Amino acid sequence: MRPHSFTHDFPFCEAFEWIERSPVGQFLRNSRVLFPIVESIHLIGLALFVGTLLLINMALLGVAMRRQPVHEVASALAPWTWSGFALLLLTGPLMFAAQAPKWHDNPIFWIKMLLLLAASIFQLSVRRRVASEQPAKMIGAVSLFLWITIGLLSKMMEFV
Amino acid sequence: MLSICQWIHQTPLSIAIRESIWIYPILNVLHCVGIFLVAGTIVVVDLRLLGFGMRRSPVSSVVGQVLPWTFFGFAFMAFTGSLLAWSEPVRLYHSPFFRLKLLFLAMAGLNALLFHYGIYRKARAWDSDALTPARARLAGAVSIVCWICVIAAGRAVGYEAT
Repeated sequence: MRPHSFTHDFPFCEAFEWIERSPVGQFLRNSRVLFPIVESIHLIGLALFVGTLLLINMALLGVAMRRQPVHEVASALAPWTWSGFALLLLTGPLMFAAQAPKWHDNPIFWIKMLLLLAASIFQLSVRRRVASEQPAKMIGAVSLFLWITIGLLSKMMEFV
Repeated sequence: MLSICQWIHQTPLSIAIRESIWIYPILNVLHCVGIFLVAGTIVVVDLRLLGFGMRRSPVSSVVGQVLPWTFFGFAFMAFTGSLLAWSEPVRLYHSPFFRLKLLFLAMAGLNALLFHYGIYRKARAWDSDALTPARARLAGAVSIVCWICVIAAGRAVGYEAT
């Protein structure tokens, strides 16, 4: 029996169904409390990630944390940004596995994944420059825009 | 209290938010942005108090720079949260997780007040210390736990629906 009928025929239909049928997917779907717990951890990771990233980026823009050098703010907070990101990467795929075919049909999910990839590459490529140079406003602005958009899309995904 | 909730439930504003396709999701998204601004920035202060981050900056400097953003986020969160609650007061009245959430929110607020009017008043003596006094560290730890509980309880409210 198909748990979900696809409205579009993208090439990943079978893979996504396989993920949903996998033990991990079934385990999460069949438990009433596990999914909300995983989602709460996801949100806590998000708070840590967004909050620290916001301060670093606003320091780059020269809007906040002006009394410390930017590289000091970045190096002090970056470990927490990445810890938050690790929590997100750990819990996100779990939630995805519980309802994979549902997300397959959701256009916002795909936009989010693409932007996530773009933002991660951007973040990794500019990291060294942030640590060494003077306030780089463009970096702060692009990073803020990407991550805020990803955050908004994530919540919107639920309502589509 | 229940009768107040029932009265709110039938106000035009409550009905409008409840029955609109777009308003509720948009408010929900904005509410999430607000809470991440609050919890994400306050955690930076908490981590400084606990000695896990920004140890080279004076505590008052971190607090002074971060807190305006926390307050901004809080105003945002409180405004959107009130509208969300206004749209379904009767359900929330009966929701144990919503009560838990308000409880943790109050505890976070009380903890912040106790910190500011307690040990933080003598901050000049320990402002630049990497290791803050035990009471300041306790305040930081309580704050982190409270905000984690607020987020988790808030998420659980969404799962109680019908």
